[in-house]
Amino acid sequence: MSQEEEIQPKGTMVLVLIFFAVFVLFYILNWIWLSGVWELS
Amino acid sequence: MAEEFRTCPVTGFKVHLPAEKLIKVNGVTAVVAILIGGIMALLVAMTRWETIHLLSPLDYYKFLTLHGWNMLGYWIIFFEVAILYFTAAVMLNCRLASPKVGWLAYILMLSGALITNITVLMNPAKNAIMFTSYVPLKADPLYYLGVILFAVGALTAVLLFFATLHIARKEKTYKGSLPLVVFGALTAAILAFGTLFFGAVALVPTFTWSMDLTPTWDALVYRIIFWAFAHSSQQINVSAMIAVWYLLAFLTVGGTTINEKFSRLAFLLYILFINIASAHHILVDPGVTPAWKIWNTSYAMYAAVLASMMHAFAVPGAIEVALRKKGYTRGLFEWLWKAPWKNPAFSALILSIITFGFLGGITGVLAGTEQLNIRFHNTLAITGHFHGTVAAGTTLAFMGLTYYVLPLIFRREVVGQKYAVYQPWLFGIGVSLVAIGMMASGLYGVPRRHADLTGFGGAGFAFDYDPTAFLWLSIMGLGALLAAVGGALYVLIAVGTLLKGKKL
Repeated sequence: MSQEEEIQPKGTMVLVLIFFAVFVLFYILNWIWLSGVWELS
Repeated sequence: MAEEFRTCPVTGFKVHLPAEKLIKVNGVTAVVAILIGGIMALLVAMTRWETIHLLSPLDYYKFLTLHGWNMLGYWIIFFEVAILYFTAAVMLNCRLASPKVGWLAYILMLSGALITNITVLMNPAKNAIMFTSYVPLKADPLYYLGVILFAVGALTAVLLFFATLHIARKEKTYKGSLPLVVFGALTAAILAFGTLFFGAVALVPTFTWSMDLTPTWDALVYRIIFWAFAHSSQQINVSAMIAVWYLLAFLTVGGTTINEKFSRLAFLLYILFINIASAHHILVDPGVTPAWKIWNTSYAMYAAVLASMMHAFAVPGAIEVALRKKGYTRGLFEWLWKAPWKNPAFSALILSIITFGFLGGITGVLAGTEQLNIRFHNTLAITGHFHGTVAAGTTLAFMGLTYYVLPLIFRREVVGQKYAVYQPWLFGIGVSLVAIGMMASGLYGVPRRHADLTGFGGAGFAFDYDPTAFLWLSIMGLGALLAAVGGALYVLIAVGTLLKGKKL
């Protein structure tokens, strides 16, 4: 493994993807919760 | 001239002694402000915790007003002025353009802070109008005078920062382009310049209106201009906090950003877009068009959020690369487990990044989206959002920096290091619980600011909250107790170091 490969911030990439997944999840959840505010029948 | 400088034995910076004095005095004043604001915070939280409901409505609004100004105003901005002087004078090995102007700025800010605090304490029935100071609530003219003096003082400090940058460039006290941390501070200063201009536009007419020199002052116009000041001032905090993140990444593990241009571009996006996102405060106001609302809180806001995400990648990336270079290369996370967690500045940095991103950042996008905003607007969820950004994110970053300012600027060994290890955790977890409790109860309809949630002050109408809301308010209260312990420990360590710390 070269020195260049060794210093890639791979762990940070995973952490950032976890953050992004939580972001997307909460974004979707809030749209779902919003849809319950004025329910249509 | 030479005797006006000393060379720091640790960093090698040439420290301008008059600038150092100003950094010290602004830093100490910030700590006094967090002490006052923190006591108020505890009293306010113990009132919003319905089971305890500690204060009468008048006392509640008095302490809430003082809490807002002392935390969001004085603690943060005095500390930021210290950061501006540190970055411009110390990090660029330059003399402060005019120490006398620095002292003038300090006196203006301090007198403004004292005047506003005293007017609220002396006559809360009239002056406890809270940080927002919404028209048509009309306080004594002295209240607004205090705010204006504080803002003029802060603007003077910002101008002094610009002048010092100019001198550093002219006298070639640094090589190449501005260091990234100074660039971040410059971003904060540019945002501050515009923000304080809007502060003047909002508050000077309010001041003349309070003296009956102006017959009327439109509440809606005030709101629009006020938020160009008040939310934009939070963007100054964000930029300053991120500059501190880069600084702490360097000081704690020797981390530098993987790509300077990438980080500088993110700061540039802040300058272009972040203040426009303040428009989300006006989303339910009738005076502006839907197109205006959608542009500002969608496209512009996303550009600002992109910038935050770029920093949220760049800073941990810098830490990881630095630690991997030290040999922690096993698997994805050896660098993280073996990081210097016993250094309170490092744990404060990581907690600041996590709380700002997960609690403040995500909820900021949700609350700032036009359609979703209706579930958040004027609820305690908004208060939860900015406790995630400012109370957790910014405050933790500044607390972390304090552990370096004390030995490097005050030249004292930090006392109680055994307890300092736990301080960021106590404060960070406590404030996180406060923010989560506020956000969750707010989404059950609990309003922000309100002193009497269930009784409505005997107003003859009531609203039945889902009982779950009260559970979340209890979690908020417990978090406030924990945060108060962490905050008190911070003040004790800082003051104890100044009084009893071994001279270095």
